Amino acid sequence: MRKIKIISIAILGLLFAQSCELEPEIYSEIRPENFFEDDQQLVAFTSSAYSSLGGYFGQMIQEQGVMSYELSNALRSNDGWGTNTDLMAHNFSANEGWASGPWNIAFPGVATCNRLIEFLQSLDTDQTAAIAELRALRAFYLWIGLDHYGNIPTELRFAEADPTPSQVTPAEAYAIIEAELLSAIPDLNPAKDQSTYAKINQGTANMLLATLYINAERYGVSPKWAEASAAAQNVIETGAYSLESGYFSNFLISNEGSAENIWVIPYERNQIGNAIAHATLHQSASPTFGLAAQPWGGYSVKGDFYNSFDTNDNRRGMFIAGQQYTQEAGPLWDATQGFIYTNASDEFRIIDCGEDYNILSNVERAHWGFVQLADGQSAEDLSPAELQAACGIVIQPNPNPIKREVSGRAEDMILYREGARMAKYEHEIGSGVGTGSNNDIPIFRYAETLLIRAEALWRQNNGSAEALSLVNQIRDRAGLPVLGALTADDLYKEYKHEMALEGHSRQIAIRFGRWEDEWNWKSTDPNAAGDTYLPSPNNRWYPIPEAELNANPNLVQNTGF
Amino acid sequence: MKKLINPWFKGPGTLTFNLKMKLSLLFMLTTMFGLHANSYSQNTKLSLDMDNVTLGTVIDEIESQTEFKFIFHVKTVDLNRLVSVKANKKRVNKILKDLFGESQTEYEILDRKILLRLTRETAFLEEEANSLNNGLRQSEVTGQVVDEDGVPLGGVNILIEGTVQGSQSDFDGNYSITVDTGQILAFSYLGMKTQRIPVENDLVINVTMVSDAAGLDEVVVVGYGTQKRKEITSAVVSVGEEDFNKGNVTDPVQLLRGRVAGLQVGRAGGNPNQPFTVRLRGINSISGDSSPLVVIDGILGGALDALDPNDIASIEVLKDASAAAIYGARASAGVILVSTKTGTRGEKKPRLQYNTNVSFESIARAPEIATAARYRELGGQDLGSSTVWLDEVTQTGVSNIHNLSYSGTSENGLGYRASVNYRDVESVLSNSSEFKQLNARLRISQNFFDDKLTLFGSLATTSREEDQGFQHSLSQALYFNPTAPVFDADGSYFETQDQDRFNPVAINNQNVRDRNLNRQVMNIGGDLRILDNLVLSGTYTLQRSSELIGEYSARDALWGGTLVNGWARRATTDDKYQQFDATLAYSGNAGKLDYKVIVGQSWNNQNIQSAVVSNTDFITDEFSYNNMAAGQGINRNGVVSGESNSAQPQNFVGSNRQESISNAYFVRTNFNYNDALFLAGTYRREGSSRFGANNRWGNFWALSAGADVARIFKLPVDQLKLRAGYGVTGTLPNSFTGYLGTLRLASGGFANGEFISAVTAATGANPDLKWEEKAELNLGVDFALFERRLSGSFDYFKRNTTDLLNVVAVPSPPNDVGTQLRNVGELQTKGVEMQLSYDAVRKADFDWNISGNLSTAQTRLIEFNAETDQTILRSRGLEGAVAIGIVQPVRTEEGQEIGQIYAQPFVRYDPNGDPIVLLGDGTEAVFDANLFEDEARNVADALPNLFVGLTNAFRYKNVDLSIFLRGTFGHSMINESRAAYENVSGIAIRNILVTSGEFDPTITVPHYSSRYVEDASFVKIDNVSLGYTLPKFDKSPFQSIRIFVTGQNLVTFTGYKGADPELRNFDPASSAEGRRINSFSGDRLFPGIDRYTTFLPTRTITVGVNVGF
Repeated sequence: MRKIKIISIAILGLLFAQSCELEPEIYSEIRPENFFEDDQQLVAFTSSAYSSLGGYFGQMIQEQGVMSYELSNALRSNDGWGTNTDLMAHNFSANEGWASGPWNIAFPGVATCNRLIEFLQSLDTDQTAAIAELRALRAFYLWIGLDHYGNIPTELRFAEADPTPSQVTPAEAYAIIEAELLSAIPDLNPAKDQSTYAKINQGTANMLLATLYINAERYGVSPKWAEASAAAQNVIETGAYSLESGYFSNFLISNEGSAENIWVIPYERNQIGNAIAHATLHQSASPTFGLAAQPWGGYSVKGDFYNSFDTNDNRRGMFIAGQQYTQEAGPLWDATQGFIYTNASDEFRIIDCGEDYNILSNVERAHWGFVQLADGQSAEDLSPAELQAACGIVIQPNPNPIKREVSGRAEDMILYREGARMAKYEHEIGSGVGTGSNNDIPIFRYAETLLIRAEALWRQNNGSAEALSLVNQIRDRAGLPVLGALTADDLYKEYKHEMALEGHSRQIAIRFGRWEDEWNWKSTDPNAAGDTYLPSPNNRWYPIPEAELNANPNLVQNTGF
Repeated sequence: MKKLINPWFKGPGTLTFNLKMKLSLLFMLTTMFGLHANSYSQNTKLSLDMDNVTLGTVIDEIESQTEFKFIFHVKTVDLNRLVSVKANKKRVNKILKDLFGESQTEYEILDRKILLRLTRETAFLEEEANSLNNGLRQSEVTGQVVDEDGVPLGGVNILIEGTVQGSQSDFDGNYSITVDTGQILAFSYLGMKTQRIPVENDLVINVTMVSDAAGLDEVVVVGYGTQKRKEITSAVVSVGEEDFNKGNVTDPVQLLRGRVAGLQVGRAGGNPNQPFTVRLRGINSISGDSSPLVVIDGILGGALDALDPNDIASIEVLKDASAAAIYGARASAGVILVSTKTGTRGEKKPRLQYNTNVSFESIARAPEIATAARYRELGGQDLGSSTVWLDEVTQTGVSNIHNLSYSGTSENGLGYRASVNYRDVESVLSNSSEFKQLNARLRISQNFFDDKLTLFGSLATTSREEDQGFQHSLSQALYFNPTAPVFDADGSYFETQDQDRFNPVAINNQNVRDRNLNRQVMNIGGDLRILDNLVLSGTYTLQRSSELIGEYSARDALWGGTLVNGWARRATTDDKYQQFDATLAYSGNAGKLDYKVIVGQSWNNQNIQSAVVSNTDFITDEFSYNNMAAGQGINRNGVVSGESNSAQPQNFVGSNRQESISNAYFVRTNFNYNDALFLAGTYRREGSSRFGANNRWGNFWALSAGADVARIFKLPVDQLKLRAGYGVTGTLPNSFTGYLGTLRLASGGFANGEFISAVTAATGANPDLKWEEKAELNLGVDFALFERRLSGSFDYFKRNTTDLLNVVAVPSPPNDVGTQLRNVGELQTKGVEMQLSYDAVRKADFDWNISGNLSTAQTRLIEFNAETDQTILRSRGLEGAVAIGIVQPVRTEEGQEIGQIYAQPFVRYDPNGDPIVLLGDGTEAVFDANLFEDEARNVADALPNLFVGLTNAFRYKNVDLSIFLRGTFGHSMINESRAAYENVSGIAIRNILVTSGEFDPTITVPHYSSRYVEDASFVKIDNVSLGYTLPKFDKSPFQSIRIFVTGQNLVTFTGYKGADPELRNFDPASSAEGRRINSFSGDRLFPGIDRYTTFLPTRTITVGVNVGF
């Protein structure tokens, strides 16, 4: 019995001696109380405010390119892509992914800035410049929200924030953004150097201000032409920026030295990649560029847009069209001409029947004027001439869509090889080039500063000599004859061509009142390719994303959605 | 033993069986034929030349030349008698005849033993020989069998356990039977409890049979203790070994499939590496774990896959909250309590058991696809060959299982059981989806101090090697161009280069994914009987699981290697789980009131560590995944910041470690008044580190009561017990740190012209996170009639889960991250369950039992998120064709049952072959996927209304047969394959479905409508098992031998046109071709989509033998 007592006491002791501690070790995450021990960690924290820009390229250049006059993303003959005709025909609805795109750049960006500003304000050290930078960046995010959704929540607090903030009118949002920028600009770093590369400096903030003013009218405030020209002039007067002599210098893989780019998003394949090469290049482009992965070949340039360039416009080098060649044909980028083959010859032509021709039905082959095949035949049975015609990878910039009733496919379909491809941003050539391009993508560029100043002056006085001279600077570099006088069409066209594929097309078309124009895949003619288009001024705003409406009951949907 | 020459085994090539089949057949045959290998005396010859020597010398000489041993009493044999013997290669009996022919001694040869005796001493000597032979003594046992009132019982069956030898008591209750010491006599009689009595020294064994009203004294494991069945007041189902499903069982949950009302064990298709989905009483949770808590010998969260079915003694399913509340956290989805076998007390003779079986698995049903000829005829692109792709990638899967166990108890209080199990399981896919597993398990216990202290421990280890491969080769085999050759002219795999099409043979042969799993469970503890009715117990458990994954896609593998010139990945996880339990149990009584109280503490700690690395760009495929440094990808391209399943493999390096701790205190009391009224109460307070300091502790409790109306009102039935219970249990979030505001690394950090590690706030921390709670009401009846011929139970339940843990969208602004883990929403499940058993025939030679169960469970989403306006949740889109890709066909909506199938009613095809469907307003229109969201209506439910299981079990003498039917009714399924592929669109690049009676070659457009929403109700002949127990051979070392053959998934009766009408409990994560994952889990809110990538259903035939020594 004695033994038993001892054992019982031992076991009871064990029972109560156990740790009741429920505080787990945190191994793979950082506890805030253990961080911010040095400046490097502080910079690591504040630099996360720029993270939201990672999605800028896909949303602004690709998605908006498709809904504007620039890009097409039609169903292709291998059943790839497709279901984008809605977007091209402006049949917008609130529950689709693209509708959330700008929101997911803007508001997480705003909230991160809110959090960081409050954090920096709580420190004992002087953080004036860092706070000014974050306020200007927050103004940019708010402007992205305003420009797309119009009626946006503008919560600028973090800890004490309203959990379900309501919207303000576009004019109210405009006023908040303007005030924030004006207040931040004096404290911003004026330098254009390595320390401000890809960061907001004074020039960037002024450029954002100019952009806000030039578009003011559509935010429901009276026109701000004088303010726009002044803000642009502030950028010009820094003397830090100038036009590069070669247009394409700004879009090289190594474009860090560009004197023209004001603010860029730095891309580096292994950090954040923009997949422009793979998104646009034809499947057979791997041998041309030595890519590791086969390109997806979705985004191509609308035929109307391609054709709107004068044949002697240097900027036409931003498109890939015509016969495609292998790497041996020496494709290269030229700062003035863009993409060219230096050694284009027959032996380097790319032939591939697999991707288009073999998978077509005879009805489809007939539509594109290809030789038909009998049962059991494949493209290998064609004569050399027929093979060349059917299988040579010749990119046609003007698609010839087959209607869905004829092809039996899900949507109006184009051949895989149709539609000029984007080549404004230098495609890396090598062996085993991975997905993701290293070109830094400009958000603001000095050429646009000149165009904004020109437009602002012209709007105030359509005989402004300075406006004409500024536009002619741009035209001169493009190899185009100078203009003697400026019209709205001239300005619109110059904007479209100079700023092509830079994510500005929607803004430009709306400001010039051309958003409701017809173009490829966007037509009121029910017999034209794509879904029929019903123009509506409501479509100048994006719908408030359905997911956001679900999450925040105080949000109200924009008119027409 | 002499080497056995097996005439069946003629060396490689002579039989079509593979080596594994041959070896297992050989093993079975030798085991069986070994019975007859008793021929030593027949085959042994010896030569002797001895003249005038004593008999003793001759005996010594024979013993030295041979293995014969002479057995005799020295008094009865004259060893000094002088004899002469001359023999040249003569059999021993010839020599013996010469030696003893005319003497007073007679002889008998028993294998290697030669008995010598005087003629009249036969019985005595035989007994001696037997005892020398077996170490045991055979004796005749007699006795009388009486009932509780002392009245003699005639006709009681008396069986020597493990044999078919038996006897019956006569009219006066007297019996006699010859039995070996150590054997066990089983006395059985209708309506009485079977008694098992080991034979020791007593030659007279008198037995009092006690009535067995509904097996009410049967002990049921209820968590931290046991209860008698009659005392149970909650919904508990106990399944013993004899009722387990038989056949090729790769996961112990299969043992219960269809056997327990309310328990659904589901898996579509026959991928042996895919875990079964287990649901008890419907869906209880959205993001928490909705599988029942598994408790193996007291270990919470024990790993079922580490357990061999042969080692399981019984499984108890605690269905309602009043039963499960003792486990508090994690018990919201019910509890599956598994008890493993141990040494049986009183069984002095060690038992050695060997079970083996071999299974043959083949595809049960496959979609009808066009043959090469038909494909050409329909306008497919002819690539010049004719290939039956399904044949190229599939096989008859041969699986093999061995289990050897050894158990017993010693006189000084040691109990032990050791077992080793090996299984080698193949699937129908060649070169993919298979595993090999070795389990070893040891349990020991030792009593001290007159049984006042028992110490026990167990050790279990599992080593499992899976070749998971890629089941995508099956769906690719269905739809790959049937005119394509397997190989190109140059010997490489033929690939069409069409989007999302991969040579199925190449997928299997060029890509590997191996997973090694090692698991050790160690457990030690003790029970101390402080007083007769006060027991203190403590146990400590350590379960350690480590997983090592290796994946490689060859440099020329279009599936995953060509784009990156070979891709390898290694991932390892180490999961250490510790648990400490201490309980103090007291039992007592006051008059007719018996009561039990148990208090205790349970603490556990889980610590998970992992590391992963992947690399690309290999110079050779030789290394596979075994030399990660050989790839140049990391050097050239660096690593990505987050691992993804994108089509293009990436380079990645990562590691992680996290810890979770919980601690609980609990108390349970049970009252039993006169075996008629019962009351139970449970309270558990549990804290977990997965919540913030303010919400850490949860209170869980239950009350339940029962009354045996039959006993109270003396009704003429064996039992009529009414039960009612109510209780609250909790669920933990999956995330260990969902409440904690931590920082994490972010992409895109840039400063001073270079990239830096940016740090940002971690995703959606919610400091207010708290327990998800489930409250459940259970009402039940247990009954037994007609001397327990008919028995059963009926239960009604209603459970509400509130504060559902779910990752939901939060407004941005003001949040910088758009989602957060929150407590929102409510689910409600209601249902009824019924379990019945009827002994149709009970005769000495023939038994027939019919048992069945049925259940319903309807889960409704009462509220999704009170903080937002979102009321509808949508499944992801359909796959396989662009035209239907944006259709989200299943919805779960507030106020509705989980899984509403939406579609537009199909009207007809117009002359162009365009599908005409109804719009919402009843007008007709050509199907347009863009209109689906607004125009579709609810056309069917994805979850069944009724589950049914029915078993007919027969025994005639030594033959037993059981036939198990399983049915599921009222569920519909979306046949994605038909919607996408039963039309000629896309025939240029892939094969199509040509379902009989449905396919129409003029249809050119893939579409989705009510046409492809099919009733998937089914009845299956799910398991038929025929067994034969061999009669015991005299003097054989085998105590019992049973041979059996089992067929699984034999016949399916259904109107469903797809391959498998089995319920899809969840919608797997996107299986877009080119992804490298097998989707073994998914979203449980969107059941009912038959994805075209699902593994095909299989049929299995198993032959096996169980041998007891």
